[in-house]
Amino acid sequence: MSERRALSLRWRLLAGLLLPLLALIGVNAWLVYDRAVQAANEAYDRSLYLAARTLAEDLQWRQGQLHLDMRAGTGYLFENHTGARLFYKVTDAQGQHLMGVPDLPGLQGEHTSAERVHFFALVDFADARYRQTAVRLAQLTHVVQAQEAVVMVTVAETREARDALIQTMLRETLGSQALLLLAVVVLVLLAVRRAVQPLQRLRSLIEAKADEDLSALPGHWPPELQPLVGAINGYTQRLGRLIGIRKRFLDNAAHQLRTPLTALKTQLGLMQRQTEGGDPALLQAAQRTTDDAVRLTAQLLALTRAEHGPDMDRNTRVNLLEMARQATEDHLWRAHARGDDLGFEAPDIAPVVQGNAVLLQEALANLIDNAMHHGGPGSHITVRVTAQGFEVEDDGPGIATAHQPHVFERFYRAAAAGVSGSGLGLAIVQEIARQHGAQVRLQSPLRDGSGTCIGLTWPDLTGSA
Amino acid sequence: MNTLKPRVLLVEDTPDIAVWLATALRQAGLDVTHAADGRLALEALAPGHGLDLVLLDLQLPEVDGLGVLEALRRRGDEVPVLVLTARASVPDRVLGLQLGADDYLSKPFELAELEARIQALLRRPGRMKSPLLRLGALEMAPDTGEVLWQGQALALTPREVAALQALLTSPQRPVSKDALHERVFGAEAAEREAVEVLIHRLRKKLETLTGAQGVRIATFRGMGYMLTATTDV
Repeated sequence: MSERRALSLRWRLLAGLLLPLLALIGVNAWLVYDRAVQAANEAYDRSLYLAARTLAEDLQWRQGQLHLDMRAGTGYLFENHTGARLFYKVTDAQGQHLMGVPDLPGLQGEHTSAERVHFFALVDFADARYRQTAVRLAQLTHVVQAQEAVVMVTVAETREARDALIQTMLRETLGSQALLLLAVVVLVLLAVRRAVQPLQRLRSLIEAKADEDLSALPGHWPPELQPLVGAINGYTQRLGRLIGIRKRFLDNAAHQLRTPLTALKTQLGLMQRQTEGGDPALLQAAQRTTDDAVRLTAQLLALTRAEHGPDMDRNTRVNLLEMARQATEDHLWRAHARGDDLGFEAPDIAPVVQGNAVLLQEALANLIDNAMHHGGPGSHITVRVTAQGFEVEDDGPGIATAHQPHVFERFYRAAAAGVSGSGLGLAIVQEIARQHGAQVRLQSPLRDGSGTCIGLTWPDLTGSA
Repeated sequence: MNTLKPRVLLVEDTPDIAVWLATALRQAGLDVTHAADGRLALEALAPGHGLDLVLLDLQLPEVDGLGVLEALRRRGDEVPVLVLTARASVPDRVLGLQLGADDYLSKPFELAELEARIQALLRRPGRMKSPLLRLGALEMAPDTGEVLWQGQALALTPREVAALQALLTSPQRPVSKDALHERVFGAEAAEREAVEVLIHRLRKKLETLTGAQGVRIATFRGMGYMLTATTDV
């Protein structure tokens, strides 16, 4: 199953804004450049036209010969002040060379009428090559005064200055557009960051929420986020209601299940004392069945509580020595009544772990209960606190190797036929261990082929005061 | 035996439990009064009630068990309270003890365990009209150190009496070797094995003197010693 990764909002915004902007800036740059080139060409063409015009004004017909009386101003026009070189020739209307450089190419009628209108004169422009150099030509049709003779004045200019100007324009256009682009990217990035900031605030608010905190998210949100925050709040509220229902159910179920069992046990206890001539075996069987129901109820409730207890703080310091002593003490009465030997072994230092004392005690209680239940009356059971955790050892029949990987699964029963059990006790232990980052260690059989030792160990526990 | 029966108030709203529990406790020689809800309980516990013990269910109509306990302790009533609860939320246990409950038993319980705990609470010195410490038919007058078994005086040494008293005053909890050493030998530089020898002697004496149905000293490895009666109450 390939999972498509959702594009981040930031990238969506960036891509959505920057790509079109990039294209727009590109088009804009091209337009600006084109316009600049046009303007530059126009300006150069105008000065080329002026040069041709001025030259033409200086033409004189004298004794049937064409003379060029170049005035100072005209010379100035032809001076090499822009780095470009100017050439000229004059021909008659039929193209017969009259004056200037004869090999300068002329215009063969490829007139650009728009430019002609532009200058209110009979002038044509063209690009051409002269002596392996690209040149711009202007060809003016001129009538020399007095003689009424029509001549064609052609002026050519090399393109260095023009090209240099165009290149400068190109550079500047590209430079300014690049700067603009950079500014846009930075601004868009900043704006996107600002725009997604409420989202990040939302994220950190939700992340910082404690597990049991089901209150609504506080604060004012942008209109775009309000439906989302509202939806989250609505969901949390529904969740809180469900958890509340479950918690109440847990309380009620506990009460509802335990109350008749209490009555039953009291009645059986009373009956046991009063029985005269009844069947003591039947009574004992009834008591055993009741005790199984009690045990199962307790385990189901314990498992539910371990898994779903929403009001259980799992971050207090728990002194394992005190906890284990309390759990052992709670079982002394029953162990003694059954004739079991329930012992307690403790180190000099008290190991302390982070967690919930009630749940850990529940885990240990289940281990003791398990040992008592499967060992039969008269078992020797030892609750042992070590520097690494705690364990319960018994001298019961042990757990067959084949069963060992499964005994922590729910409702798995490894017990011999005839021993009742819910298969929940060790599942509870496992669940609580998991929640506390502890490892469950099982060893069976022990030294002499019988016995079981199950314990919780914290690998990183060094034992502190 | 004490002719004056200890008076117990049973606060329990479930009729099935109340009726049979009251019957069982009456058979065990207690004078049982029943209250079916928190308000009735508080009425029965009006100043000058003369009760020796309260068995208090936590989930009650009207005023709940913790409310009854709080009201009781607020007006300085020190009557021993044994809390019985079927609630799932374990912090109740802590809360109950913080509010001044003397002991705690979760439902469902063994009748025999409840009775043993009741006896343990009644045995506490200063709690009873009778200053005697009792376990079944074993009685001790703490001020004189006289120990009676079914009304007959037992011949015990002062150290044995001291050890027995320590065991009698620790209701349902094992007394550790260290604690016994402290109680019996005090500042004397006796070795710890002396406690084991003393308990061994006391255990033998109790076995011979109180017979098959008598009082025993149970050893709990690593926890200490606890006095048990083979007959209930």
